[in-house]
Amino acid sequence: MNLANSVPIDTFDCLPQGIIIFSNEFCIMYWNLMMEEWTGIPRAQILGKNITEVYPHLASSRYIGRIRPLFNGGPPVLFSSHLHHHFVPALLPNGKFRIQQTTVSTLEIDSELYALVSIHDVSDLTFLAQKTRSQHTQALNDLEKMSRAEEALRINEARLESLLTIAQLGPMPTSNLLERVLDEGVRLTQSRLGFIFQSLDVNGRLEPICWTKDVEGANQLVDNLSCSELSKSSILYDVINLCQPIIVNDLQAYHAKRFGLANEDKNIASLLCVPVLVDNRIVALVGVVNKETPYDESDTRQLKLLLDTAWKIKMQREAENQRNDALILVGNLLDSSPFGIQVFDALSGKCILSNKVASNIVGGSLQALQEQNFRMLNSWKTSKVLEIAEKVISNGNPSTVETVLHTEFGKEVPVKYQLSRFVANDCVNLLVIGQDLSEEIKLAEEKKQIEEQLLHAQKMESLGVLAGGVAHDFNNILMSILGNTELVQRKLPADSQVNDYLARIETSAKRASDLANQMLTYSGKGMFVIKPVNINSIVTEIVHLIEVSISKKIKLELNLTSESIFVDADETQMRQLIMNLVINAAEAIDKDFGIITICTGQKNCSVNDLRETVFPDSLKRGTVNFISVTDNGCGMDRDTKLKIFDPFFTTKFTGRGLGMAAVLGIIRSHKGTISVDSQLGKGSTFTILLPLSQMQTVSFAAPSPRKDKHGNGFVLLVDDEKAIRFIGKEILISLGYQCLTAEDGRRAIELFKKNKAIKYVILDLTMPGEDGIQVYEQLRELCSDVKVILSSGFTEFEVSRHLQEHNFSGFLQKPYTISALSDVMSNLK
Amino acid sequence: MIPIKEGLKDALKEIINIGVGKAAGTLNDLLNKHIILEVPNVNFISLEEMDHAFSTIHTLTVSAVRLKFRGPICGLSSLVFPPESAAKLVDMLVGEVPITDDLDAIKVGALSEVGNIILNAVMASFGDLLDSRLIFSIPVYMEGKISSVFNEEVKCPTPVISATAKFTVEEHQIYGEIILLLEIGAFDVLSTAVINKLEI
Repeated sequence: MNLANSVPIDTFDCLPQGIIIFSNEFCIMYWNLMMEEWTGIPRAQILGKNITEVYPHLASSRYIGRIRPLFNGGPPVLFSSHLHHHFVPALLPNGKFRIQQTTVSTLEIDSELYALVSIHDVSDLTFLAQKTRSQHTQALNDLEKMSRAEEALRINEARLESLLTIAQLGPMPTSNLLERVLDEGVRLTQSRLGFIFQSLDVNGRLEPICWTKDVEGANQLVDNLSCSELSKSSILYDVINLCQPIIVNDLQAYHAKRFGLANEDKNIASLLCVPVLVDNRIVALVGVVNKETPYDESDTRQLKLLLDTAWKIKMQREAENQRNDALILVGNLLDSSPFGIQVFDALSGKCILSNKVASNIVGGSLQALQEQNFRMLNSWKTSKVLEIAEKVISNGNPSTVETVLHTEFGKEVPVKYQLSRFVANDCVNLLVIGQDLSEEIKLAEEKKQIEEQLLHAQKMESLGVLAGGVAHDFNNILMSILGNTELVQRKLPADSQVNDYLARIETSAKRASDLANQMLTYSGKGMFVIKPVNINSIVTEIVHLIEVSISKKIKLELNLTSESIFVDADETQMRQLIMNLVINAAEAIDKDFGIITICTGQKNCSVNDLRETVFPDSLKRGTVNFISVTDNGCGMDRDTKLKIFDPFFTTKFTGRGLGMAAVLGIIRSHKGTISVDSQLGKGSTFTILLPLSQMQTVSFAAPSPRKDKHGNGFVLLVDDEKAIRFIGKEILISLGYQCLTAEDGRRAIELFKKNKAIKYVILDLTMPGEDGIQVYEQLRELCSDVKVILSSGFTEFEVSRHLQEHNFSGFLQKPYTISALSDVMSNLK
Repeated sequence: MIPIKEGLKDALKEIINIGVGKAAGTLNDLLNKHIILEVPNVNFISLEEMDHAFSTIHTLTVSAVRLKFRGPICGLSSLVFPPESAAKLVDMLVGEVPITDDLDAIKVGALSEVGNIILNAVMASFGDLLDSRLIFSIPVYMEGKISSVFNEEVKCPTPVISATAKFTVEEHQIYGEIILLLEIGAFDVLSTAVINKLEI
């Protein structure tokens, strides 16, 4: 049939849709222009063909099955573009199939039902929709990404803020820092509370160092977790073992599964625990607890980042503290070092470091030193220090230099520099350790001086002992000569011609005795009697004697203090002292006119004043008496001055060199000292310092004319010198006594035991074998009444200790004369 | 509830079930997926009762495919999906990524075709019952409140046949409502037709 008569075919050609009409036998009855265009099949070619043959896919039940009811009046059928894509394949210019939305409805023509296929090309719409959808999806993805990015940004901002907050935290104890960090960790992970445990040892022993305060359950949580030995059924144990973070969002289930038991702490629902590692060793565990939503990797990262950062800061802080302590230590070391320390940069030469002592050595300020460049220092250039410094820098061998620096600050100072090289932070540095040698040199000089003085004193001592010994023996000999001479004189008639000879012998022997006494005086062992003596009186008394003893060309001037000054001294020796000094002064004057001045007085002496004297330790500082003798003679050079007190040292052809030696002996015996001030060609001043008198001043009656006193009774004379025994016996007999002699203690005791008549014993102190003291003690045991007289070449002053300790009846100084023996015997207690 | 004779009710339920059964077969063919389509219950309600009957979805924006018909009986049939079910169904049919925002062209096309298949099958059953040809409009896809899908079309109060269709696609279950609005007299025609068929 021709549908053109029944339907407005032209109209279908005008539609922008594909229109097909086919019969209930699927014979194509109509094919509009749009279909021609889409398929390229002309209407004339396709009409009358079975559509399922042209397009076999339409024969399947999914098409035919749905279309067939149409021919029974069924409702229109839809073939959507999404489930079918196309009803009839038709290509687009781009080679893709047109996407078609197809509706198949019924068309009734002449009571016959036909299928009217209406095909909409929805390619553009679909592509547009797909594009839109793609864009939409893209936009959604972008939005999601953006949202995620924003979230990440927000989290990062929060992290950054936390990290910045932590990094900017001011100085605070480590525990406070960690508390702040933990608070941030709890906040960032939206947890309820948190804790930090410090790992104490390799066995995993843990100690809670901080936890969220003021939150219910926190203390219990920490108590439960920090059992003394870390339980193996603890999540912390797992973290330590695995050495990695653990997230547990259901702690009960975790415990049940992992340890087969329930978690005791019901307050913990979820937990995130992260180990803090330093050098692959767990130093701490940080945990957060009870987040409302499950913990995830992001929380782990946040907590880890935060704690790693905080731990680094903590370690940095601790390192800084240690560094600061070290710096303080170095600072203190520099400040308290007794050496000057300077460090220079070897390359630039600039001073890096300097201490106060270094600045004191060169006399500049610390700041000035720190601005120095050692290569610019003239003091180093001119003293070769620079040359040595450069050598030390180049070869690295430490070197020491001692020199006198004329410093940039106008100071001249002897220094010792120890220079060495060291490397710090890849920079070569020059270390200079300086020492001011001024004091050391001064001390060395003083030491040398003291050693010289000591040596001199030892020499004097030796000479003194020698002189004393010689004098002692001389005295014994002279005593024999004088005593025998005296005895001969007594036995000869007064007009005997021999008397003149004897008188000459006596005179010579006395001169010899004077010399021996001078020696004894020098040695300090001369005979003297100590009593308070007025120095002014002695000077006044001997002025006449002095004037006749010295040249007429010399004028003696006295400058005596108006007040009396007393010293505890032997009067005779004081006279001898002044005489000897004046005679020595007179002998120094070889001019036509000279002046000798004697001064006396008291003055206050410091330790320094005393140090300048010959016996610096003999006097205590304070007020002392002084006698000075000044001349304007030739003066002395240093060598002479040093030897002036040496015995037998003389500058005079005829001198015996004992005058000044005796002076020294007298002064030493009287616990005084002497200083000499002399300039060559100008004269000398000898100043004698003597201690103030400690004794009561007494006046002495003038001695009565001497007359030997006679006595009687047995006297035992004990002496190891035969001559003494002989002359002593003779004198005693001449005085009316009976005498026995013993050469030593043993013999003396024997004689004493045999002769009960012995009333007196004259006992020599120094004897070979038993000495006088030992013999005395035995005598006292034998008889307590016997009177014992101690005899010695030493002075009474020197033996006074023995006299006080033992009850001697008297003392007889050797050499003794008839009158001296007579006096002692007659004055026995 | 509309007083309808129990015999008619049963007959109508049977007719709907037959139609739906055919539709399932068609869908299986079309999609190459095993789809079970059931109608667990069929209710007869008045238009006024619709809001109450569909209380769970009446405030939502539903997707509906509507097919008008006229002939011995006049009215419209519609398959209504709640939004989630519509999206889920399309996802399963088309295999697209879940779409949760407004329905797009894919959804419209697919849902229209599914609705077309089911409604055509159901209406074909009615056609068979009536032995009389119904004139159908082109199926239309609509979105909006459920009341707006029907209100304009219904001139007077009339019983509504509401049948819940349960799609089981693989392990997923999706529900839709097949709703038939019949104009006055339609039930009489149907009743007569049922009686005639039974007598036959």
